[in-house]
Amino acid sequence: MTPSGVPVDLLLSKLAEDTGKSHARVQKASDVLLGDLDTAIAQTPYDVIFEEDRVKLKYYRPENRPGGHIQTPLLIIYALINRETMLDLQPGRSVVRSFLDNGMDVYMIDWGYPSQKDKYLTLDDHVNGYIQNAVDAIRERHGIPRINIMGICMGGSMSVMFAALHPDKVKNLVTTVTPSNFDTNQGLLHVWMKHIDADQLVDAYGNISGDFMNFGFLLLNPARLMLDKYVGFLENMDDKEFVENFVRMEKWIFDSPDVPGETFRQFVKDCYQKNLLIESRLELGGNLVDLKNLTMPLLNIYGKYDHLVPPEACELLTSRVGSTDTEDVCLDTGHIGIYVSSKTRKEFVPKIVNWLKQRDTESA
Amino acid sequence: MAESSDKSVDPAAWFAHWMKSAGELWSAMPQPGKAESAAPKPEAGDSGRAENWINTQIGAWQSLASAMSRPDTLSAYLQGISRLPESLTALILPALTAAAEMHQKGMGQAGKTGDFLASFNFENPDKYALDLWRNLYDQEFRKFLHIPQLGLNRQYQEKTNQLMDRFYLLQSAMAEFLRLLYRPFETARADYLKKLADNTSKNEWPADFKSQYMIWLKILEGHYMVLFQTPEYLDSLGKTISAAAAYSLAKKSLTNDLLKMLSIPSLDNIEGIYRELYDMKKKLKNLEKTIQTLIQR
Repeated sequence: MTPSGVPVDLLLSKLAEDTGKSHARVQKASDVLLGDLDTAIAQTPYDVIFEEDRVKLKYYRPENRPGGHIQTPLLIIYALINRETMLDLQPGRSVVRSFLDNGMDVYMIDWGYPSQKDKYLTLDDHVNGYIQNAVDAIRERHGIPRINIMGICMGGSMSVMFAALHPDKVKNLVTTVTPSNFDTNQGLLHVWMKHIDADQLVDAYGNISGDFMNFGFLLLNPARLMLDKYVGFLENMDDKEFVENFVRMEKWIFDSPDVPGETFRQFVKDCYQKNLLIESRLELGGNLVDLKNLTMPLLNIYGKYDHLVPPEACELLTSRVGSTDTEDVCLDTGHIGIYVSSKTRKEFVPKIVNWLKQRDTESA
Repeated sequence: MAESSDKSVDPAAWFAHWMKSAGELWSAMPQPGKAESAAPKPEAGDSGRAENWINTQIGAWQSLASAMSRPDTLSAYLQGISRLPESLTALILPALTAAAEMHQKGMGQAGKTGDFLASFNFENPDKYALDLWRNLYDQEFRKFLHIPQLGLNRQYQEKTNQLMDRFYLLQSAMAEFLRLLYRPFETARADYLKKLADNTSKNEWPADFKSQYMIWLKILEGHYMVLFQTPEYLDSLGKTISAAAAYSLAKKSLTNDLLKMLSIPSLDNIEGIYRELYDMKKKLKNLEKTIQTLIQR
């Protein structure tokens, strides 16, 4: 007989070692999971300075203002999918707090939770209604004609629409992971959206449920998002800090408001299926969203490994606007990592702060 | 007994006799209004209603008996009786033919089920089982839920049938979608085992479970990425979402009727109010802005 090459002794000793480690981990994990955990999110204090229907405008006041801080307030416009709390997950990983530390006046729109009565709200109602009213409230509060705007994902697309329709109210525009060119097959979301009958969905359900969309996002990578992620949790559940961060992220990711039906219908049909935004053919409230009207400085940041909004969906924007002061920044990260990864945030926040600072001294 | 059975009965004479007796009976029948009755007079509101009704009935029978006993009618009727077997055959034959046809059709459908089963592919049993069920439902069962409904409740019955139809279609679409989602697990398992066999043949043994899990996970992820871009998956995704929406619409339609019957505002009613509320708010906001602009001027 040929002697077997199977290192049985090594495998068994490895198995015994792993079993011992797992046992110890479970014992420690029970202490962690049954003990006090700090999993609160969005803890940075704020005031609500404007409210309209379900929408609130949060104001984060800087605790100190370092010399040479940015005078122009910044309005952050988040997407209608998931919640803006992602920018303030925890003190050590908060984009909002990082901006405040730089002495910026930070405003953020909280879109709230749309109910069925909001199903008729269109993109026009969001852009020319809620966003414009929030911008006007900030302008009036600070007595200035123009403010800085930073848009995130779909909120970025809406920021682009707003800036094109009201260029006189925007001093600088920062778009982050913002889809503007939807005619790409690089991201699965773009592929799938072309096969979805938005009319039928909206007619049947009214608003599009947050759970339905979350399930769709999980399906983008089920092996990682529905399996490996929780294997990772099991491997690290004895680490209190890891568990706290994991739970914070779970809290945020599954806190998904519904999307108003008519807004979903228009966004899918006009943007994902007809790609009207980048071609300056989109109409809101009877007005054409002409990207040539975007004459203010534009900083366009996106993630190299973003599977939801791939670089191809973001990078065309700067070449289509009227502004001559534009910059594309592609970071080595994904869609969410750009805001929550400690490594990327160290790159992302200073980039925005410095870019805005350079343009803040120029006349309003 | 034998005597009577031997006697031949002339049906014409027997019928003429019977008709004559019947005619006499009905003509001799006293008419309630004509004789004084000891019964109490009816209430003012009911006066004459029962009397009229009886008179009409008796009158009708009298007329019928008299007409039937006339020689010409009798002869025509008797002629008809002689043709009774022929008429009965004409009546029964189409019904029997229809029953035979239905039976034949049923057998034919059962035969088709057999055809489906005969074409069953055991190489890909889950797919073919789903296809079989879908085809059977589409071609053989579905049409029963689409039989036109009649009468006062037709609309409700039609909606109930539609809901059942949509439910089956959703189940079918969902089963196919889940089958596709499961497929990468099977292929990843097979690929992983092949890789493991290749490695062991080269005397390369797994160092630990984690590394093996990572290899399998990468294979699985790759299979999902390929699957998600295939026309088969995209088609199934679109069909499943459409089927779910169609089922929801059918459910909503039936629920609306139910709520209406219970005098509870239906979903349509509430949506109408939401729409009005939305329009009113929009007008009000625009008006508010116009006024503010005018004030600022």
